[in-house]
Amino acid sequence: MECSLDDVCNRCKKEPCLVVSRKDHFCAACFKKFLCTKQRKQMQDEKFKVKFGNSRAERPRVLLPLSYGSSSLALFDMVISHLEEQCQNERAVQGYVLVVLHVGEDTARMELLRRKYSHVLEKVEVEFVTVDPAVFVRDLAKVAVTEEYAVRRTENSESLSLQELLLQFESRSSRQDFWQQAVQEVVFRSAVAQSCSVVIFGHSMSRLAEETLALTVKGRGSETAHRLTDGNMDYVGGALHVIRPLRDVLASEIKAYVRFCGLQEMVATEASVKHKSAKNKTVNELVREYFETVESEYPEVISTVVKIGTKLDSPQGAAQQCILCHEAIYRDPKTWLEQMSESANKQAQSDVPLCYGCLVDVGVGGGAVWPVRRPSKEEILAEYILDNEI
Amino acid sequence: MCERCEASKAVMRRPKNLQKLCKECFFHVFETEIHLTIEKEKLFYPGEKVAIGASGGKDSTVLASILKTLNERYNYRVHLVLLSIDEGIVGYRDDSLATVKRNQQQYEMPLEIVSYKDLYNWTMDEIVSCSGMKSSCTYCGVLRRQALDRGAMKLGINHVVTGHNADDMAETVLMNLLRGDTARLESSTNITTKSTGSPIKRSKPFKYCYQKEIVLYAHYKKLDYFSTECTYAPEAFRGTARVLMKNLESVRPSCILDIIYSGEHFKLKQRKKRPGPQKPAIQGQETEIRSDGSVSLQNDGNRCEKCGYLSTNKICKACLLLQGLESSRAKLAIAAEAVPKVEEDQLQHRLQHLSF
Ligand SMILES: [Zn+2]
Ligand SMILES: [Zn+2]
Ligand SMILES: [Zn+2]
Ligand SMILES: [Zn+2]
Repeated sequence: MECSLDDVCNRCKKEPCLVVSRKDHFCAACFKKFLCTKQRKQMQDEKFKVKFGNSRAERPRVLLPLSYGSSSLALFDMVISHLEEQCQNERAVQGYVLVVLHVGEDTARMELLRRKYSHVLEKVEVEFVTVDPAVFVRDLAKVAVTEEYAVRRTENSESLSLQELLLQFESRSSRQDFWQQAVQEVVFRSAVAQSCSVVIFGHSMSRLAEETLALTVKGRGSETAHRLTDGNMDYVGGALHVIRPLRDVLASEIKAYVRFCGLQEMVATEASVKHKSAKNKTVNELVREYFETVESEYPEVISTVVKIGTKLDSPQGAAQQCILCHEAIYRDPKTWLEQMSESANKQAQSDVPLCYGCLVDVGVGGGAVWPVRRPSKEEILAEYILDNEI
Repeated sequence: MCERCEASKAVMRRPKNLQKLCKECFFHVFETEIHLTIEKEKLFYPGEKVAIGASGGKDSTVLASILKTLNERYNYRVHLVLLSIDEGIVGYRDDSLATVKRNQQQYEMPLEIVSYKDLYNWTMDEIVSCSGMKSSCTYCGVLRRQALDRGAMKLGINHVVTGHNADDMAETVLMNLLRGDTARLESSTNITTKSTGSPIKRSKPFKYCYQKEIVLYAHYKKLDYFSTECTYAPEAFRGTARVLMKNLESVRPSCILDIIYSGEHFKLKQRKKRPGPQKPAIQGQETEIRSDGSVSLQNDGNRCEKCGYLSTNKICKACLLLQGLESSRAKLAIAAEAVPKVEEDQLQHRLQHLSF
C-alpha cells in the first residue's frame, strides 16, 4: 500500500508518510521502530538484557541463520540495532553475542554486509560464519520403499555430493524439501559447534502461514506444533532455544523495512517462479502465491492460519524417529496406507522407520541415497571444521 | 495389458497409483478398498438400518450402488434406504430427484424424500431470493444437515451415510485451517461423526476415495446420475481454496491423501484453565452452536423451543437462521401488508409436526 504525497506519518505527525500498514500511516523511521518493537518483544527474555560487570560470562551465544532473503536480512539489521542500543550504556556490555551464519558458498555477500555495517561492528561483538552445506553429507545409505510400502535399508558404497543426492528426487518440490531439510540440519549442527544456546530465525508471519499449510499438504501436519512454536527443542542431547522474532511481521512489511534500510542490494533474489506453470512449482511456492493472491481481499487469512497453527499440539503417544528427516512418526505410514489398499501385504516388514512425508517423497517403488544418521554432539564438535572468520 | 490380472486389456491408469487396470479389475479393487474401510472402521452392524443421503449426484449414486453390491457380497445384513432432501431449487432438484427415483427402481431400495418446504416452510430458492446468493452456503450447510437428520429420525434410522470423498475431506481440512475453525479442526477427518446428544450417526465410507476414481467407476458402470453442479455455487473464498487444491494436485498427486493423513494428526493444545470461579454451564453454552449446525446436548431432554429439535440452546441453529429470514422477509414486505406472524406460526406448526 502506498501513501499519497501530502500524507503525514500518524506516529510522529511530522515526517511524510512512506508506507501504510495495518491501516496506519508511517514514515520510514517510525515504521522501522514499529517493527523493531515486535522483534524486541519476542526477545525480551532476561537472558538477552544488557549485562554488568561479572555477569558477562553468562551472556548467551545467539545464532542467526542468514539466507540473504529479505526476512533474515531484516532480522539481522534489527538485532544489530538492538545490540548497538545496549552498548550505549558505558558501564554495560551487550547482553548476548551474535553469531551470524550463512549455509552456502556465498562468502562475497557476507563481506559486503560487513562493510556496510562496519561502523556498528566496531562497537558490538558479532561473529560471522559461513558453512558449506556439503558437511551434511555423511553416513550415506540407500533407503527404498517397496510396492507394499515396506522400507528397505541397504548399504551404499558410492560417494555422492549434496547436489547429486538432491538430483535423485524427480520433482522440484521434493528436491526443495530435502534441500531445506539439509540446510536446517546444518544450522542446528552449527549451533552446537558454535556453542550457541539460542537460534533466531527470520521467519515472518507470512512464512509461518505458508509453513502451516505446506506441512499439511505434505502429510507432515504433526510437525506443525514444533515448527511454529517458539521454545526449547531437544537436539543431540542438549537444548536449543528456538525463537522466531518476526512472527508478528508480514512479508510485505519486511519488504518495506528492507527498502528503508537500503538493504535491497544485499538480498539474494530467488529466480522468479511467476512465469512457471503450476506443474513446475513447489508446494511451498504454490501456497505462498495463494496467500499473496487472497491477502488483499481477505487480509486476516494469514494471521488466522498462524493462530490456528500455533494452537496445535504434537500428537500424543510413543513415536519412532524417521531415518531421513528425524521427525517423529506417530502412526505407521505402512499400516495407514494398507487400510485402504486392496493389494496390501501385511507380512512385508520394514527395516527402518520412515515418516509418511518422506515415504511420499521417496515414492512407492522408489529409493534414494541419503544421510541416515544424525551425528552425536562429540562428532559434530570433532568433525565440523568451520570456516570461522572473526 | 492389465497389470493386475495380466489377462485383459487395460483401459485406464488408476488415479491413485497410476496402475494400469482393466475394467473388471478396477471395479474389484475399488469396491474392495471401500469394503476394507467399512470393516476396519466397523461402520455397520448386522440388522442395522442405514439411510444413504441421496442427491442424485454421482457421489451418492456410486455410494448406493457400491453399498448394495458390498452388502450382498459380504453379507453385511444392513437395511439400506435412500434418503433425499428436496431443497426446492427449480431446475436442479427437479431433475436430480427424478434421478433418485430411477435409482430407487435400479437398486430396489426404499426412498424417502423430505422437502425444505415441509421442514422449514422455505424453499432454497426463496431463501436465496431473500438473503442473497452470498450466504447460501451457510443456509445449505445448516439446513441440509438438519434435514438429513430429521428425515432419518422420521424413518426411525440412526445412521446416515453420505458420499463425501477424500477430495471433499481434504478441502474441509484446508478450509478449517484457512478459517481458523478450531471447533472443527480435530474432528474434520473423522469417518464417523455424531453430534453430542443426537441419536443420528453420520459416516463417510468414501473418506479415502479419490473423486476421480468415483467418476471413473460411475462412467464404466454406466451408472445413472445427475451431473449438473448445484446452481448455488460455493462462496468465493471456498472457490480460492479449490483452485489451490487443483494446483497442488498437479505438483503432488497424492496431496489429497497427504492432507487427510495430516488432518488425522491435528490435536489442539489443552487450554490452560484460568484461575477463578468456573462457570461450566455458561462455557458449554457458548461453544455449542457449531458452524455446521450440529447441536450438542448437555442435559438430556433439551430441545429447541420452536421446533422441538435437539438443541442446548433455547432455539436451534436452523430456527435461528429462519427467524432471521422471516424478519428480513417481513421488512421487505412491510409496505405490502405482509403477514409474518401467521407464517411464523405456520412454520412452528410444521416443524413440531415433523419432529419428535
Ligand atoms: Zn513518523
Ligand atoms: Zn521423514
Ligand atoms: Zn485386470
Ligand atoms: Zn428449532
